[in-house]
Amino acid sequence: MDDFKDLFLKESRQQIKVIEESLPSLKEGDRESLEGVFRAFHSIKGMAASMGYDDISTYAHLLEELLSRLRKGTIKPVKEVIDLIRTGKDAIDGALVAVEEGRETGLDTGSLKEAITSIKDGGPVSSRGNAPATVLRIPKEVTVAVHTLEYIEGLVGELLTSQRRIRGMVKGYNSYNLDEEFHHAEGVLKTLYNLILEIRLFPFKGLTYGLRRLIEDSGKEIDFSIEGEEVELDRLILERLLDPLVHIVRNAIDHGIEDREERLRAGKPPKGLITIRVKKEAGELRIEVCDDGRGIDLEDVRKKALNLGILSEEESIRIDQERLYQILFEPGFTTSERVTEVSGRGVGMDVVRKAVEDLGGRVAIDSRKGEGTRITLTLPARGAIMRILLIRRGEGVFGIPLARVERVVEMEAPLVREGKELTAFLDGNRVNVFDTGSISLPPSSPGSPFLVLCRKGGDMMGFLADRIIGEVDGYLRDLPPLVRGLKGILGYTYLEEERPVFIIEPNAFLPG
Amino acid sequence: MEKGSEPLLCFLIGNKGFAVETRHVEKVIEGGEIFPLSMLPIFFNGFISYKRTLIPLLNCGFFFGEEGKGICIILKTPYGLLGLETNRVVGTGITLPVAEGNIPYTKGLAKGKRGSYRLLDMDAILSAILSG
Repeated sequence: MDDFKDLFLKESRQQIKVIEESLPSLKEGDRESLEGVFRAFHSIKGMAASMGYDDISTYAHLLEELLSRLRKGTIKPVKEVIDLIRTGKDAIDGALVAVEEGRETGLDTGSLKEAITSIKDGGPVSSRGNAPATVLRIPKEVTVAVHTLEYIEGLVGELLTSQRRIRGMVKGYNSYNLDEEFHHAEGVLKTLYNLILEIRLFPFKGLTYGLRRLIEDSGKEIDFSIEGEEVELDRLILERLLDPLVHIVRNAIDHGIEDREERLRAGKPPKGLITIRVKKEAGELRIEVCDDGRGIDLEDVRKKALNLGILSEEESIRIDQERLYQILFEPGFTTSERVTEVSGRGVGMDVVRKAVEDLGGRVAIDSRKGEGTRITLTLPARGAIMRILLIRRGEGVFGIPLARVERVVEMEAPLVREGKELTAFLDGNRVNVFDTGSISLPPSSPGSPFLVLCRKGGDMMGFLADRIIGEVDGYLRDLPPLVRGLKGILGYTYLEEERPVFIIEPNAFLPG
Repeated sequence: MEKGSEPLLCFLIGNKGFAVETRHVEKVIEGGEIFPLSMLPIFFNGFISYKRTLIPLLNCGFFFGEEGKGICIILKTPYGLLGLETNRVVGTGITLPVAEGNIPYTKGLAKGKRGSYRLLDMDAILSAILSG
């Protein structure tokens, strides 16, 4: 519970920060800021509800309603409205301190409701919410930011490098005592390094308490099953997944699982089932959230998209299933007529997609009407230990996530060059080839004996390699902020040597 | 026209003198391997490895028309560390009056006993990088 509370507080404060940073541009009428603030209050609402902090949830819901009116354009971002949002944000911030200290939040939802009601569409504002001011807080625990841990990891890594250099010098002295002392120091350093890596890891079960509570408090008859809660994830990933998972489970509860009577009529067991499966395979993290509810009615999606102007008449006729699923990720899209305090505004899925994409992942929906829905989050295990295939090409050594590798083949026929494109023919099939050597400088000439084949959907790409070094575990690091988002490079890792190894993202070279 | 003085680190890139406010300097390191990457934007030459972390290395040829080699100044920026390869560090802790100039990516000319140093305009450099 404490673990989850800790995550709740961190995530909520992160959302408070988003609101703080967005308020100046919201005042200027910036649409993106408005969406960001709306999502932030929505996130706080959902997380608070899942933790049982109903007053925070209600408070956030009221502010979300106010923002909803801004979105529709029925009120303007005038000073009074912005002040009310700011005061509300401060009040929630204060309430978080109260939660941290085990006190009552003191949130006055009645006054806030009154203040919001007094804001008439298109008119001025007469009063404000009676919200408590921000409370000064003195932390009782020391929190270490992930980037600080990364810095410490770097320092220990530097010590490990020095230690390897010293090893050679120690041998020259031929002293038993010096040798013993050196090996002891070496062992301590390695332990310290592994400890730092472990500190960043946290079992998925840190999230399950809150999700279970969410289901229990829904009042619906739903069984909850979880597989793989012992899987350890990088703490940063876990923190960022909290919000998307709350949204997905809430949607399953509110819109997926039918009530008892409807289920019996459909020939289903009276109790619904929500299952979460967590798997980590070759450096890739996969989280599936499945429900055996009514599924997504794609015809409903099509009609709503048409009504909302997302699709034209012609598009609505031609559109395929995959694109219809993608519409569910549009900001503000919902098929639900009902706006509940917990979900139904449709903001959930765009929040989910943004959070997952920010982590370099993707979201997929698979649903069958009357049978249920499966939402799959697939993430590269950034910041975590990843299994990689090390290859040499020219002067460079590169890594390819093993999860992306289909197979490695030794080339028997020469490559075919057409303009700038390289092609190989394997088993009678044409395969596009990327010269991995072109990543490093100077580029190497083609003619390498190996192709590492990676597949994305129906497309295949081969990556040239002079030599396959082997499989290793690498601790994937993000590229520095000034060059982040470099196409085709997932990140880098250090192995035994001081030289970094760049990790290739094969999907970036494949179409789609 | 002279501006207010501030402690500067003076150095050479190629055979031209440059300077940067010491508040921007994290560390000066000698040598070090450069790890190039073909898809890096033109603003960078590659990376250097510092405390087992990669730091992008500024393309001095692009920004200043001169290439440095041998000594790397690691600069602190709001977007993380940034490497600057130079030929030689002339002095630290020097306070020099700075006169205005109009050389791109510099914000004036600092005159010392050993010559003139173009004062790097870190904001302009970062702005160029961030705007792509």
